[in-house]
Amino acid sequence: MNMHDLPLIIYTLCLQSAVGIYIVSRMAAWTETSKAKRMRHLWLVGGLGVAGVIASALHMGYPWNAVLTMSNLGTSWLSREIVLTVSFGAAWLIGLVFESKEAGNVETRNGWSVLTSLIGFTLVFAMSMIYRTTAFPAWEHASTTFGFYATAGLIGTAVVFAGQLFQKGEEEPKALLPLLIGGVAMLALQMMAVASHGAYLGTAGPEAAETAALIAGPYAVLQWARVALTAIGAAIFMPLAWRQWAQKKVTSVPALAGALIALVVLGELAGRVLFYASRVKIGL
Amino acid sequence: MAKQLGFHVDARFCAGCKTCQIACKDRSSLEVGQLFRKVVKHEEGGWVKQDDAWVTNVTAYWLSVSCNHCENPACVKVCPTGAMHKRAEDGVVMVDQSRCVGCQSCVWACPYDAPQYNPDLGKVGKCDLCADRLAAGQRPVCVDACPYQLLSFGEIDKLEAEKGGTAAVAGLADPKRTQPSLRINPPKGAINAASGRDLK
Repeated sequence: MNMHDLPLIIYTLCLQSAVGIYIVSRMAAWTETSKAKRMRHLWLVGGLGVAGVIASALHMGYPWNAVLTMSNLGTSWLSREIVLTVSFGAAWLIGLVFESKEAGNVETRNGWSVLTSLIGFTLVFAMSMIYRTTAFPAWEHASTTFGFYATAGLIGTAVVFAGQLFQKGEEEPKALLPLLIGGVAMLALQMMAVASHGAYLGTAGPEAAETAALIAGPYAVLQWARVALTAIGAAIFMPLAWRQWAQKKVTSVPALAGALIALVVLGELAGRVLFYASRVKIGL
Repeated sequence: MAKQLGFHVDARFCAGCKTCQIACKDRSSLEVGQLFRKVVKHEEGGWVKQDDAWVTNVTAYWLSVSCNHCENPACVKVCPTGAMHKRAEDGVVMVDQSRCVGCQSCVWACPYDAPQYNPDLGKVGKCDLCADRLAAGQRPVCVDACPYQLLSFGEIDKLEAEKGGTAAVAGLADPKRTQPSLRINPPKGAINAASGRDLK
């Protein structure tokens, strides 16, 4: 792996996770009225966003010019991504203040969370378009966009699902079944992205064929790790945790919940390392 | 259409001496690993069956390539700061290093490896068609240096009318991607190579 890619791996994973956790947690908290329940996961979203932005600054060779990076909104997806990152951060912060002060009614705050979610959703799209407009044929495909959305959705559902199982006191976890269904759907989306990317690589010229050879050869372990870890996390540990909870075997559920987060996050990390490591550029 | 400057390379006779590459590197004081002009060898072909016999269609040639000051430059499109820009008066693609943030988006986007990242500066540099020499009425240093005088520069339409050539040469990106201001008189086997290799 090229160490120069590390900040980008951290940035994309952190921001996609932040968007996914934000959207899923707002859906889970839609009907909640208590401050504690509505605040759940918001600080995690902020922490991931800050970590991602710090990492992205490390990618720049001359970060002192960072303020100029929003100058080419007309054609540059990177400019758009940066504007959307700032907007998502600002909207998250305003939402955090709203929730902590319990400003307005629940409907108003839900409305704000919809707006913030839309910004986050667009941010993930812009992020994918940065890669789709390079001279790396492996990235120029729609599977890049679907893969990024699947990452956000998988980590979002896994974290919020697990968070429900870590609740203290007598509080009953809510929305576990919809979260489980959502997690499996996001896993299916990720697997579809992986499969369609593989099919595309065979049709997109010699550089894409080289990428396919890298994925099938030296980096096969990353591909299999990504598939296996996310599948075990979302399709085995999630249903298992839900079943244990449904059968009131409460003591073992937090361990399962922690394990499923670790599996999904590690699987997505393997996939992202593979994404960067297997690129082959059209060049001389 | 506004004036568009570009390069013409008569690759039929290029011996790969790399004098153009070295002259450019020397003028721009580039460190190891950075080249604004590259001379690259392209090889392809192998054994192919022809009726009852196996014959070779091996071909190899040199290509001298720098920034092609494309009509539709990918580097300019993706640059978030506007540092990478296309000069209106002559279509030369320039980088304003005072605005460059060193994100390397241009490096990723260019299919000709023209933008070169300078890790000491944390910024990108590239061929500016020797803008200072042009302003002084001189030719780019690579054009002056070629001992065979196979490199030319000027308005790309006039170069094409005078010398012919194409940018659709095996070993280079499909010109539809960025519409490079480059015309090459291709060596034998460079177009529609018998091996059936597609353009990138």
